[in-house]
Amino acid sequence: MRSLSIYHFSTIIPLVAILALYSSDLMRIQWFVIFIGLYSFVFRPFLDYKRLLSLGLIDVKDWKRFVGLGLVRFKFYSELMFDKKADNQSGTSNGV
Amino acid sequence: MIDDPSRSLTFGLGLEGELISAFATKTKIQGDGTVSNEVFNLNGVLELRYSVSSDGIRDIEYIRSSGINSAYGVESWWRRFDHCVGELNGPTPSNTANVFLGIILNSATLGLYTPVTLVACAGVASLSKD
Repeated sequence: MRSLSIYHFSTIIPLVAILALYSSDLMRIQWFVIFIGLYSFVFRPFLDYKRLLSLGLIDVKDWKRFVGLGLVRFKFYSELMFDKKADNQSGTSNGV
Repeated sequence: MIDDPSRSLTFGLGLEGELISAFATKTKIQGDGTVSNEVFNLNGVLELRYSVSSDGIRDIEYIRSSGINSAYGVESWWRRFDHCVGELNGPTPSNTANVFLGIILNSATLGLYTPVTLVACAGVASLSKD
């Protein structure tokens, strides 16, 4: 998950698939809610956690910070979305 | 149009009662018994003309091209795209709920939800037909 392109591919394709299936009437609203909820609150935070972990910006024990919306991800927005290096890469959970 | 008995306005409803199509027709009976009918869209543009003669011969003429490169093709593509975007960014009848949903989904996806809906809807509009 260190590769930015793989990260974006992994995050965008499932979301596009869910949205396309729903808007094409191939997925019912109930399934749409379930899948979009799983994507938003489980799948996406998990991928962000794995990427930040592979970049050495967080520790394994920081997974609790990614439960739910995982607002801690916004602290590492640039690193997640644009591969920008963090100012303080100590390999620990500094600032998390 | 109301005073002209040769014209009518027709609505097509979906399974849940939603309006899915509407068009106007104009019907004429020729002297030889041929019945001709012209179908217009709501902008008054002629889209289809067909006639049934007294000996049973039917003639159908499509006036507007449905190709994607035609003005009608672009118009119908945009209508599907716009409908899809509205559906994905406003899934509930409540505007307030839709705003909160948008905030939550954009937060969860780090701001990608709205842009991705545009990409997904572009694909859906291109692959689907009216």
